[in-house]
Amino acid sequence: MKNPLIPLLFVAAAILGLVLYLANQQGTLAMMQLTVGWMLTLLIGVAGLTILWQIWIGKIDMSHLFSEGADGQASFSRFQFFIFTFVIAMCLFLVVIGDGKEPKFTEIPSSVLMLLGISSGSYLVAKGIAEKDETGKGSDDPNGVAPNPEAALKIVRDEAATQLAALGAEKPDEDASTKRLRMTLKKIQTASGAVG
Amino acid sequence: MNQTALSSFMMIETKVFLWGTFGLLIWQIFIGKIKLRGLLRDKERGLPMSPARVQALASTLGVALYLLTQTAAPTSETKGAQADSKRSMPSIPDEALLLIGGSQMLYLTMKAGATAGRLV
Repeated sequence: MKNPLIPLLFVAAAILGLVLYLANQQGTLAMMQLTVGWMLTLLIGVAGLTILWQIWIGKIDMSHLFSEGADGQASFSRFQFFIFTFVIAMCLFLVVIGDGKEPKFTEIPSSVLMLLGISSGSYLVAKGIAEKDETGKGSDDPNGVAPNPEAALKIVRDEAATQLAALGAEKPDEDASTKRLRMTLKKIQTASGAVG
Repeated sequence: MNQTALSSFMMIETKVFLWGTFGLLIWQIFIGKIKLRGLLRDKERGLPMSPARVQALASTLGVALYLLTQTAAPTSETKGAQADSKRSMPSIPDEALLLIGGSQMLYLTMKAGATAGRLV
């Protein structure tokens, strides 16, 4: 384990559990509940502190929190999704703790859920549009396939060769239009070969 | 080490985590570590500023601030509703929901329109 804090945490939680147990040698259910409660609270607390610490030292990289796409520019949809999620989480927490005497979970109004739905829906749609944009960027193909000049020239060359083969061998009594077509196809074949 | 001490500790712990995260994010945005470059830029058309994004940002911040202020210090209108159910999250008026929905819709329509125009 790379982080020495994690084994330390388990040791601390075990010691605390032992201390609490010894404090009440009767081992009643209430005492057990309290012990488990403290252990879990400490565990979650240390996990939270570890996350904050790692953000602080830069091990958890938050620099691209709002960025999207290859250019790494900030995305508005991500930003608004984050704002609403964070604000609603903060409000819920403030309401739950209330005056601090008796924390109690509360009902969340449907309008708040609707707001969260609008925000996340908007994010998903924007992401879909951005993905489509990235796929189709720089392509003339309606299916969004990236162009390949080499492949295109090969298609032209092969097509010219097929047409020439269909015309058959050159005959002395050929009409003017067939001669012109044969010449054009040969030129195309040569040019596409030279460019390719 | 009774139940009250445990719940107080939990509250402190959650406060530290939430405010710590909030502070860290604000700090990283302030020093430029979290990049906000291009937030209002019209990427589809390549313009430096997009009106659709600006109005969407304004309505987002407006509704978010409304929700925060209503939770921190409820007005007389919402106070009654909150007193009924002891303690509850403030409800958001339909007008505010319509505002944010319309604003997001406008932003997405502009974005989709610009993208489609470029792809066709």
